[in-house]
Amino acid sequence: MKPFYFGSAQQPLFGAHHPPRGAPRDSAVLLCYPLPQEYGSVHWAFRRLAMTLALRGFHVLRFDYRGTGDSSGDAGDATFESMVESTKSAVEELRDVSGARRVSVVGMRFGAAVAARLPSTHLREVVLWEPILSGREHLEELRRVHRARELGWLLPAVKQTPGEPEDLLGYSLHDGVRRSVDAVDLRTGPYAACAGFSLVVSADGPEARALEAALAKTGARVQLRIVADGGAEDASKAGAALLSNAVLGAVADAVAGPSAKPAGTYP
Amino acid sequence: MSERAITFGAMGGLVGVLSEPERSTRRDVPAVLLWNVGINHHVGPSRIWVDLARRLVRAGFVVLRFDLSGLGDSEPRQGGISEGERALQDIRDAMDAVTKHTGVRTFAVTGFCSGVDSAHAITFLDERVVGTAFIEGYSYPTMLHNARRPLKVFQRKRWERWLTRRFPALARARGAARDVSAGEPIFVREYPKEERFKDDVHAMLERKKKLLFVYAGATRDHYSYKKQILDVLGRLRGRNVDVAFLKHADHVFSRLDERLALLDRMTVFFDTRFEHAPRRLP
Repeated sequence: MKPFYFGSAQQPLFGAHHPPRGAPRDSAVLLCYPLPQEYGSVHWAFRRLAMTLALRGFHVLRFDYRGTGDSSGDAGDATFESMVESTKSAVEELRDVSGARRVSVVGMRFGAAVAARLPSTHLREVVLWEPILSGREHLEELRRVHRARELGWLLPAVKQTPGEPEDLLGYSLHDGVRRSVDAVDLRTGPYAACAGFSLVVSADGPEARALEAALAKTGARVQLRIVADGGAEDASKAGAALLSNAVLGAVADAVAGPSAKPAGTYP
Repeated sequence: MSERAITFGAMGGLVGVLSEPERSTRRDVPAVLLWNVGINHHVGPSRIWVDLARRLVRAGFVVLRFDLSGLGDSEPRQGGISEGERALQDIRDAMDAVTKHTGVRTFAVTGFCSGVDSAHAITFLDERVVGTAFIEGYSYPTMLHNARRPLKVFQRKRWERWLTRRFPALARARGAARDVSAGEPIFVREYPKEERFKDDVHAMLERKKKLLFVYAGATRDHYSYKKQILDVLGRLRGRNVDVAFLKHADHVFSRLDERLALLDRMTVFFDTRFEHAPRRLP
């Protein structure tokens, strides 16, 4: 694995490139993290996924959005629009470092919303791993976890001071970031232009089916992969994904596209 | 400020981010090393090491935040040595890498939670380390601490944990998420014997190392008042010890105001205590 900075000199982004370790393919995979509140708990799962994909012959790039992880910027810089811009930059960087013509993108939780909205052409597979459909509902979910973990449920919720960033699971949620995340609704387009979408979810339900139907309207191939013990379906369990070989295998199969294991339910 | 990703160690398997001032205005200070807090990777819980590194670089320090072998982005170290020895070798490799890249030969290190084990050991063993910040590190009961133990019955968290176990439906109805146990200790740490700890710290102070001890009040089971660690250590030689007690903070300083208070305290420690420390040895 090679760590490096890329992008503009004023606003560099941190990346970790995993070159292929198996028979190399002419294809590369970009991994998109969830929101910062879940970043720490999925870091190890992403490293494992990157190693799994590298063993299958893919170039893989993990990277930090602007304002997150090791990248430049502060929490107030990590708006949804900025995350999409960082991801576009990472796609171009991955094409450069790998020489691969075809790039697939895997987004987990809120990272799936970023991947699905990527205004980039020539993408191969876009894999939406436990996708967040509503940014507003996602923030509410994170607030519930925050309240349970840090503030305690015997006390009334702490009122935010107007103008001050919200303190959410150890990270500042600035007003601009909150507004941009609130506005994300993946149940409607536009969606990234790609050959195929894959949904990797832990349960077959109306939300997954609605997203599947909406994505199908783009004309792209859509596959649904259900992993019963996926473990990343809510904020309090996102870190559990690091223990599930089944879900890492399902995501890797989804990246490989229709030539891999058929879509369906994983044990 | 410049930040660059570096790999180092025998097989180049260790990964870190080296931060340097654009123009070094402080040529007389040690480089600061930051590594994993528990299993968090080198960014730290709530990105705290990134924030601290950038603050310290603005004050003129060189900072390396890195992953110990087998954690975060670093590869496991080969060979049959213990976890503690592995961490010490990783830290020595980190010091060598900083010296190679920047010429800085003295170091201030930071241990946070389980990272205190290796911070304590390297401070005791390696003369290149001129000072250390121990965050949520070793603590021992004192007479005053034991006298305060009955006050635990008033702690809200204790009541919440008990009520959550007995009445989970009530907890959920009040907005608690499923993971109501988060924040509880998930492992038990093994501390050195108190006498050994005291001897080690006194030996560090004899060698004029500068030490900061920071404790969070939410771990009141172990630490209950600011000067507890000074009562443990007894009579100290010199004045090279600072103590901070953030009584409303939780173990990982997850609340923003407490985290900022911790960053302020650490920045002041590094900035004032190492003003005239030798940065480049002859």
